[in-house]
Amino acid sequence: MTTNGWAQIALILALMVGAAVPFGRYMTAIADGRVRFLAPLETLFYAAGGIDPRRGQGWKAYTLAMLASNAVGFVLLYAILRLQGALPFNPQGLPGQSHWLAFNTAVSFVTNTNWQAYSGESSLSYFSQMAGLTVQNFLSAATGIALAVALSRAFAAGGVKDLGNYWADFVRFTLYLLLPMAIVLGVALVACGVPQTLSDYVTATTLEGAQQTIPLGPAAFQIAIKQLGTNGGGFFGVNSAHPFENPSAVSNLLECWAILPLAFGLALTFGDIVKDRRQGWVLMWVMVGFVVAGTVVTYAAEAAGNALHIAAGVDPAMGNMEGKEVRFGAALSAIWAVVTTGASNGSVNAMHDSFMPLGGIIPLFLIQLGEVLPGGVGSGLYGMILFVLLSVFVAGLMVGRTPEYLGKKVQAKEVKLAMLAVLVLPVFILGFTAVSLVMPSAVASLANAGPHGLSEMLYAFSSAAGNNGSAFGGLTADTPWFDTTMGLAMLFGRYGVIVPAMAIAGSIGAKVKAPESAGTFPTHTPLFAGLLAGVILIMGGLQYMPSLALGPVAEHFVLAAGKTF
Amino acid sequence: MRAAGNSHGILAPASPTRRVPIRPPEEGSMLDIVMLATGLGSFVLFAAYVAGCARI
Repeated sequence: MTTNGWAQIALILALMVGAAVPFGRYMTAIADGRVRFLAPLETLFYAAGGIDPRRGQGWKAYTLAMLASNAVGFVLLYAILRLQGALPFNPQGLPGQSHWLAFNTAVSFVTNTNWQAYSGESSLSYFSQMAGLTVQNFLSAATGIALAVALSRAFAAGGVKDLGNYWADFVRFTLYLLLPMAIVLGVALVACGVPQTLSDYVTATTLEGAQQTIPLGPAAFQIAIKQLGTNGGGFFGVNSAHPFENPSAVSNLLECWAILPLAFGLALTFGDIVKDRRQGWVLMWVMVGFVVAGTVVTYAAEAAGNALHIAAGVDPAMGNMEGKEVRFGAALSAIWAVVTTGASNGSVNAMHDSFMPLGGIIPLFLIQLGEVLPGGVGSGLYGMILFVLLSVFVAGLMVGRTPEYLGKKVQAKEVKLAMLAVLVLPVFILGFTAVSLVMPSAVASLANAGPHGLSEMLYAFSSAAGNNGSAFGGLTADTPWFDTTMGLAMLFGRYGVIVPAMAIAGSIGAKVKAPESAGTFPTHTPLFAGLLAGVILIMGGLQYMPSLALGPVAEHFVLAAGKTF
Repeated sequence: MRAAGNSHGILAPASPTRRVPIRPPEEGSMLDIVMLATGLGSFVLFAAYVAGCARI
């Protein structure tokens, strides 16, 4: 570890946290309908869709509208991916994706996962990248933010019948937040050297005289929204480790920073909506605490290097550099890995498969904790609220009082729904991993044996069900089995959490808001932050520690004994 | 300085040497129906889940 490395990490974290305040306040203004600088365009959308933005929706109508919009998105994206050979902007003449892969990719981008069982530059046309994937990057992010805002409104007052209008929230967050931010960041990335062109790929002659095809494309704006919307799907196959996708230290700073301000900011938006900013701050500091702790462990593990490499004569000064870009080094790879997995982003600037076992366990565990630290845009906040409800339930049990949060009683119904949501992930992560590990055809897709192979399989299904989308690597994922099961894991990991979370919004919203009394358990204090962090860690540990012990933990000890896989 | 790429018109077809069938002949349309039904069926299931959660 170096002072320079820590300084770079501290700078990125400070910029993320600092940006959360203005973005949080701005998102509150959008949620309240106070931002209208594109009002004519907004009105046009409503008119075209026959939508009355002032008409409130209960939780069921809000959720069904979201499901309908996402289902349409799935069908359109599937059609684009299958028919891309006949569609324009295809200078490479690339054929459509296979049925299995198109299903997997369509589900992946509609659910904000962006798991990629393909390499963009060799299998997707510019049209598919622009009209298919980039569009879904905007829409899936707007979906998440809309849902988080709707859930927040349920806690704002007593007897809340409607949670807002899904279509209005969806359009407003796309128009006033994601689109302008993506344009600004996209232009900045173009200035850094990221391509934004419809020109064909170019052929270059290398110094050795060989011919090399260099892929280009409209990459910059897709990269901008994939970072801001916590989507994460790279324009190029190796994502932000590609020199065109992330050419320099400046582009790395911008792209890494762009992952978290909206996710952190939404915690503050929650505080604004419930009219108690302290509640938002406490959620945000818990999120920040996990990101900092994860970064410290990962950077320490990567900076220490691989003892076997050092014994073989590799200079230990740079740490473990396998799978890392020399441009970024261990520090910037570590912070990116933690931020991208804590936030359900899934973009990478280094190969997680090559991290040291204790460096790789952190990204894996952050995904498994439910993508709430700070989670994806929107999904992180509504996931965090589920843990908050479980925390106040535990606190209520300890002191023998009916638990309540923000003046709303948390009763059996809410706790049952929260547990339904929380248990979806382990069912699909551990279930599909276990089944795949006993299928010879699935195991044949692994590049490594032993505990490292187990980690590769576990990470893949964690990434899918957690809607993260990053790849540990080492798994040939474009097979009918993985395309289908991971597609299902993405669907259930997304909507299996959203539906009960929205049911909680409906139930909590309808309740009377009781005034604070001497017996109220304060939820804005460091004590509550500690309780919340403990509940998240204990639940995650109970669910996943056995599988982690068989994977990265076992590999750590085996590696210390001099064995690799 | 890199070589300039070839400009590409919106509706220009791919060059004949690169052109490939839209759908490889060995693949049938039945799988499209299966995949779409799996995806859309999941959304229908989640819609039913809304009703289920409302009853809790």
